[in-house]
Amino acid sequence: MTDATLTAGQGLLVEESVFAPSVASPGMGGDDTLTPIDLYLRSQQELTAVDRFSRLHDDDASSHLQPAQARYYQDLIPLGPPGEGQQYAFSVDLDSCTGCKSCVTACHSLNGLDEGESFRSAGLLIGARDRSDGVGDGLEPWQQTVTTACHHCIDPACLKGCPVDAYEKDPVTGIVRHLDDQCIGCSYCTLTCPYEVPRYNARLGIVRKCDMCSDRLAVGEAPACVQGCPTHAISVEVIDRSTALAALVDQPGVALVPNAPPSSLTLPTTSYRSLRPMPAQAVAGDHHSLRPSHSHLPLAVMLVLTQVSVGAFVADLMLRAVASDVFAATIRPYAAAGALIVAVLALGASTFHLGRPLHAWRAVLGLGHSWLSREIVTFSVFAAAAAAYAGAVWRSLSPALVTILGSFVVISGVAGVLCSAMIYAVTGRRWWRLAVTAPKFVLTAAATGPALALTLGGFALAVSPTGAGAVEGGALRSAVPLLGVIVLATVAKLALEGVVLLHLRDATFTDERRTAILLTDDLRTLSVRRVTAALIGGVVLPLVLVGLWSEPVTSTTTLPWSLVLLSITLGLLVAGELAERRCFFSAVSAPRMPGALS
Amino acid sequence: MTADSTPRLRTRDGALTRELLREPAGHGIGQVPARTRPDAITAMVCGYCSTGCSLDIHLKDGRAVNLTPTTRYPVNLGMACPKGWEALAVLDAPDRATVPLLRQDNGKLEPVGWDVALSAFTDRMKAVQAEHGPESVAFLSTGQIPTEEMALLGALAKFGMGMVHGDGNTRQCMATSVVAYKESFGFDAPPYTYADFEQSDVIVLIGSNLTVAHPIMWERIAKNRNDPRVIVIDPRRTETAMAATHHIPLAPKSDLVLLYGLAHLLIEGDLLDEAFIDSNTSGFAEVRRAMKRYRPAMVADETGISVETLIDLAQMIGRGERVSFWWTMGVNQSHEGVRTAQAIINLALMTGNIGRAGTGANSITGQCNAMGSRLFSNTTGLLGGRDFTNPDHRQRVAHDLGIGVERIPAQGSMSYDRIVEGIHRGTIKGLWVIATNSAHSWINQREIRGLFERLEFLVVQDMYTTTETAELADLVLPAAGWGEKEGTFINSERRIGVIKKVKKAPGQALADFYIFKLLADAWGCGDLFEQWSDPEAVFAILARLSAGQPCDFSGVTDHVEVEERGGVQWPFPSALAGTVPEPERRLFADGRFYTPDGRARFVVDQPTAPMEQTDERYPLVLLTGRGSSSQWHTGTRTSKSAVLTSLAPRGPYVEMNPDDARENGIEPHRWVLVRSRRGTLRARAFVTPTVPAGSIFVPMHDEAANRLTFPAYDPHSRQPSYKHCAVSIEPVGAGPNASL
Repeated sequence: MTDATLTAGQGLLVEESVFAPSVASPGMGGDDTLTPIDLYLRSQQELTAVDRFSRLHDDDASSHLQPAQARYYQDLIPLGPPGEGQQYAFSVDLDSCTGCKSCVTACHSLNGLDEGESFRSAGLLIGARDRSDGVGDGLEPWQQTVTTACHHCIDPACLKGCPVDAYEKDPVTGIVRHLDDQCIGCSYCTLTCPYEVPRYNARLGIVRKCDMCSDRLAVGEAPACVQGCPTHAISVEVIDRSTALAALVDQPGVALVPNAPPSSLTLPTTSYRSLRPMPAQAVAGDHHSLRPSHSHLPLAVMLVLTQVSVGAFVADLMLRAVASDVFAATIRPYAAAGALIVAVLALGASTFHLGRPLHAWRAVLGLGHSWLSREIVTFSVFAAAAAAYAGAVWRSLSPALVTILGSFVVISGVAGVLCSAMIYAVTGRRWWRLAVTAPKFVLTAAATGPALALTLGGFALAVSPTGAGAVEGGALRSAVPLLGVIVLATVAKLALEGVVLLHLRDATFTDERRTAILLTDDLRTLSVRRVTAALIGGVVLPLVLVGLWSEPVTSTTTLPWSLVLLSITLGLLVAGELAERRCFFSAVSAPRMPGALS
Repeated sequence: MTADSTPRLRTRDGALTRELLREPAGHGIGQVPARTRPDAITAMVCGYCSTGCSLDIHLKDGRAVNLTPTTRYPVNLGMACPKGWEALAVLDAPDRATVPLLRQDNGKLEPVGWDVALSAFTDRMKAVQAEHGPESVAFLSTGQIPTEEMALLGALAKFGMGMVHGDGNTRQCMATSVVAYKESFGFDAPPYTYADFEQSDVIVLIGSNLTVAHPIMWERIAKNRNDPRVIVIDPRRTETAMAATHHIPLAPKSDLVLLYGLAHLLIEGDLLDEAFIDSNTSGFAEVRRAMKRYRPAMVADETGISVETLIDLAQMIGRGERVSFWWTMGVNQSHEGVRTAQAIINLALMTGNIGRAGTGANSITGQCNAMGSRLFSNTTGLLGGRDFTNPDHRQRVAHDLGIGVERIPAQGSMSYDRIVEGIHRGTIKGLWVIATNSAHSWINQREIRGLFERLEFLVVQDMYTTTETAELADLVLPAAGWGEKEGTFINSERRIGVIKKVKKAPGQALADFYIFKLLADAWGCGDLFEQWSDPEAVFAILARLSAGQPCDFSGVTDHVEVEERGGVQWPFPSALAGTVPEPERRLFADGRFYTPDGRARFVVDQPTAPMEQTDERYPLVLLTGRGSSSQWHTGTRTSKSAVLTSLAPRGPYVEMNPDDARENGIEPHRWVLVRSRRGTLRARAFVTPTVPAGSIFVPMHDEAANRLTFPAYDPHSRQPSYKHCAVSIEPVGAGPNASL
C-alpha cells in the first residue's frame, strides 16, 4: 500500500480517507504494516488543537456577555443612537494613525469579504511643513497615512445616482446602506461616488460597500476597523447634521484632507483630526501614478450605437428636406429598420454591463433622481417609438402618423443622448463635464447617423425597382449635404477631442494633464487608431464620394462603388467612435481620496 | 427616493445580503461572518515577526476558518498587524510544495515519493561527505520554525549527520545583538518586557521603523500614559519618525558617532548614575577616556545633527526618570553594528536605565522565532545558549541527551557568510536550506546564486516551490507551515508561545519536525533521537537543557502550561514551578548580570567608515528596509494574500529626495535604473522628501534589492551590512508615464 499510495499521491492532495482516525499516531506504536512515512503523513492530517487544549476552549466558551475586546473599544463608539438631526460618522485621529493598515485587514476578515476585498483602504499624503518639534527651524519632511471608508455622506451621490434605489440613508443612524439584493450591478455608483467607495464584486455581480458595521453598532460593538486599530485612531461619533452642513455647503475649497475631492459634492461626514499642521501642498502617494481606468466596453458600444441610431433617424428627417422625394421615399423603410436594429443592438449591449441583467426592469425606480434611470427609460421609449415608426413606414400607414411617430422618435432619441451625457457630467470628473460630453455625444450622432442612413439608402436604391431611375435622376447628388454633415461633424469632433491634449503642457499634474498623458502614452495605440479611422472614414471617403456623386452617375457603376465606399465609411466611423468612447472611459481622471504609493 | 416611497419594490434580504450576514461568535468574541462562525476557538502565537502576538483561531470541525487577535494576551491586547490578520490566507496558495521534487537528468524538478526523496538526500549528502569530508556539507537554518524543530535540525545535522557548519538566517537580522549582549551582559539576554514601552518617560528608537515593522509594539507606546518623549534616530523620516515627538535625521551610518557624542555630553554634563556605574558595571574608566574626543562640534559635523539638538537629546536622556533604548535593523545590519548596539547599552548603563520599569537597552528581534534560534538552533552556539568549544558545555549536553560526547563538535560553526565563502572556495559542496530564501535575501545576490549552482547537492525545505532558492534546488522537500504543525516560538521579550495544528497541510507536505525525523531514520541515526518523539517531548528535553542557564525555563512542563500561563518568559526556573509570577517580567532588577563578575561591561571602539564610499560615479547611498507593514521579508508568504498585496506598492519602486530627482533629471513615477558596482535594479521613482538628499531607499522585498548591496560584514557578528552601499540612478524610457 505504501508505494502505491505514494505514487498515486504525487502532486495530488492526499485523500483523507486513507487515514482512518482510529489508528494511533507515530511514537505511540501502531499498525506494523505502515512505514514511518505513512504514519507521519497521516499524523500530519490530524488536527489536534481542539483535543489537546480542550480545557481552554471550555473556559472561553463559558460565554461572556460582552466581547472581551469591548474593554478597548467601548470609548470609541457612542453610548447610544443619534438624536434628531444627528447621525453617526467616522472620526479619524490622524496623529494616532501610523500607517499599519490593520484596519483594512480587520474589515476584510471580520466581515467575511471576498479575496482582496475590503471596505476600507489606506492612502498616503507626502509633503513638507514647518518644523513642529521645536528642534531647529525650516521645513521638515512630512507624511501621513489616510485611512478611508464610506463617509456616509449627508447627500450621498451613490444614492442619487442609483437607478434601482439600492441605497438608503438610514433615517436614524444616517448610515448609507447598500441593499445587496436590490442591486442590478450597473456600477454607476462607482462613478458617482467621488471617494471610490462602492466597489464592484464580479463574483456576485453587484457592488458592495461599508455599512459602518451597523448591526455591530446596534448591539454596542464597534465596527471592524475600529476594533482592529492598534492605536485607536478610528472611532465612531455622533454629529449634528446642521453643523456639518454649515461647514460644507457652498464651501468649494473644503475637502476631507488635502487632495481629497471637494466635500461640497456629497457632504461627507467623516472627520479627519490633527493637532499638527498639515501642509496644504501635500500630494497623494499615487499623485503621479497613472493607470487607465476600466474601459467599460459594453457601455462604449451602447453609447456609440444609440448615438448612431438616433443620428440615423435625424438624418432620415434631413434627407426628406434635402434629397429628392423618390430617394427619400426609397430610403425611409430601410433607414428606419436599420436604425431600429442598431438601437436594439445598443440596448442589448448595455445589458452586458449589468451584473444582474434579469433585474434590469428595476431601473424605473430611480427616475426621480438618477440620470441613468432616465437614460434607460428614455431609450426604452425611443426604441418602442422607433419600432412603431418602422412598422408604420413599412406598412405605409398614413403620412401624418408616420410624421408624428418620426418626430417622437427623434425627440426621444435626442433626449436619450442628452441623458447619456448627463450621466457622466454629474460625476464630477473634469473631462466628463457637460460642456464637453454633450457635444461629443451629439457629434457622434451627427457623424455616424448620416453614414448609416446613406449606406442603407444606397442599399435601398440597389434593391428597389425604382432605384436605378432615381440614381440616374440625381438622387445621390441630392444627398451630398449629408456627406458635408459627416465631414463637418468629424472635424469638429476631432478638434473637440484634441483640446485636452493642450494640457500636456500644464505645469502641475491636473486632471486634464493626466488624461492627456494617458491618451498619448498608455492609450497611444487606441488614440492613433481613433484618429486614423475618423480621418479616413469621416473626411477622406466622404470627400471621395462627393467627387463621385458630382460626376455624371450611372446606376451600374456609381451605385455599387458608392455602396462599397459608404459601407467602409460607416464601418470606420463606428470603429473610430468606439475607440474614442473607450478612451473616454479609460483616460478619465476621477476624483478620489489620496491613494497609496503605487 | 426615500426608504419608504417604494418599499415593495426594494429587496432588503436575500442570498446576496446574507453573504455579509454577521452573527455573534460567542467565546468572548463579538459578531463574526455567519459563514465562518466558529464552533471552537483556540489561541496560538503568530508566525511572522518577533512581536509574538496571540491570535484566536476560529475553528469549525477542528479546522481554522478565520482568526481574531487575542484580547487577553499580554503582548498584543487584541490587536494584530495586517500580516497577522491574514496569517491563514497564505496557507492556501497554489504554489505550495505538496510533494518532494527531485531534479532529474533533464534538468527539471519532477515529483517523487518521500521514500525516493529521503534516499536521494542521504545518498547524495553521504557521497559528498565521503568524497570531501563531513565538513563539506552545511545547513542554513531559520528563525521561522518552532524551537523544537530547529533544535532537532541542529542536533540531527551536527550530532547525527556529522556536519560541523550550520548557520541561520538570523545571521541577517539578530547576530549583532547576540554578540553585543553576550559581551556586555554575559549572555544573549534582551532585558525588557513590552510593558516597558508603556512605562517609560523617554523612549529612544534607533534604526527602527517600529510603526511599520512592529506595529503592535507601537501599540504599546500608544498606551503609554506618561506623555513620553519619543525620539526616533533614523536617516529617513519614516512613519515612526512622524509619530515621534523628536526625529533625529542623522547621516546614514553616523549612528556610532552620534551615540558616542551623547555619551560625551552625558559625562560632561554629569548626567550619570555614578552609584550604578560603581557597583554594577566594569570598564567605565575606559569609556570616560575614549568619549573625550566626541565633542559636540565634531559629532554635529559627522552626523548632520546640530549641537543644540545633541545637547537637547543628552538632556532628555540624562534627566529622564525611566529611559528606554530600542534598536532594530538600522543598527544590526551595519558594518559596525555590534559596537553601535553596545554604545546604546553603554548609554543605558551609565544612566542607570536598566532593570527598572520603563528602561533598558533593548534589541527588538526580527523573526517570530529568532530568539528560539539564538538559544537552540545548535548552529554557531551549542544547545541552550552554550559554547561548542567549552568541554563542560559539551559534556552537559551529551549527558542530558544521552549521546556520546564525541558526537558533539568541539568547534563552533562557520557563520553564514563564511559558509557562502566555503562554497566559493570549494570546501562546502552540499547545502541544506530550511525555511529561508537565501537567493533573494543574502547580500550581493548575484554571487550567491552563482555559488548555489556550483554546489554538488542543494536541498531546499520550504512551504513553497517558487522561492528563488527552491527554484535552484536539486531536491525540494515540501514543508508544512505555521498553522499546520505544533511547537513553540520565543518572542522578542523572551516569551515562549505555542503554535498549533489547525489546518491540514496540502498534499504530502510534512511538518519540518517529521521531515527531520524521517531523515534521521534514513541516515541511520534515528536511534539518537528516540526520545525526540514529538514536539512536546522535545520541549521537555529543551527545558531540561536550559536548566542552570540564564534562559532556564525548566519550571514549565509542557505546551498546555505555556498556553495556560499566557506565554512564559524565560527565566522560568524550576523554583518558579507552580507559582504565578508577574505576567510581564524584565531582567537585571537586582543589578547582577551574567558576566563572571556579575557586572555589565562597557565596550567602546573606534568608529570606522563604511567599506564602500560614495564617489563621483556612484554618488548616492542606498538604504534598504521594510517597505510596508503588509510585507514580510522575501514575500514568499505575504505575496500570496490579495489583501496584503493590495496594501503594498504594486511594482518595484525607489524612494528618492526631490533634490536628487531634480539633479538626475528624474520626474516622479518615472522608470529609473539604479546601478551599483555589482548590479542594477529597475524601478519607478517615488519622489519624496522623507528620504534625505544623498540617499535612496529600496524595500528589501524587491527581489532585485540585493543585486546592489555590498557584501560588508560586522567583524564581530558577521552580520551583513544591508544599509549602506554606493549607487547611481538614472532615468530610463521616454516620458513621465513611459512603460518599458
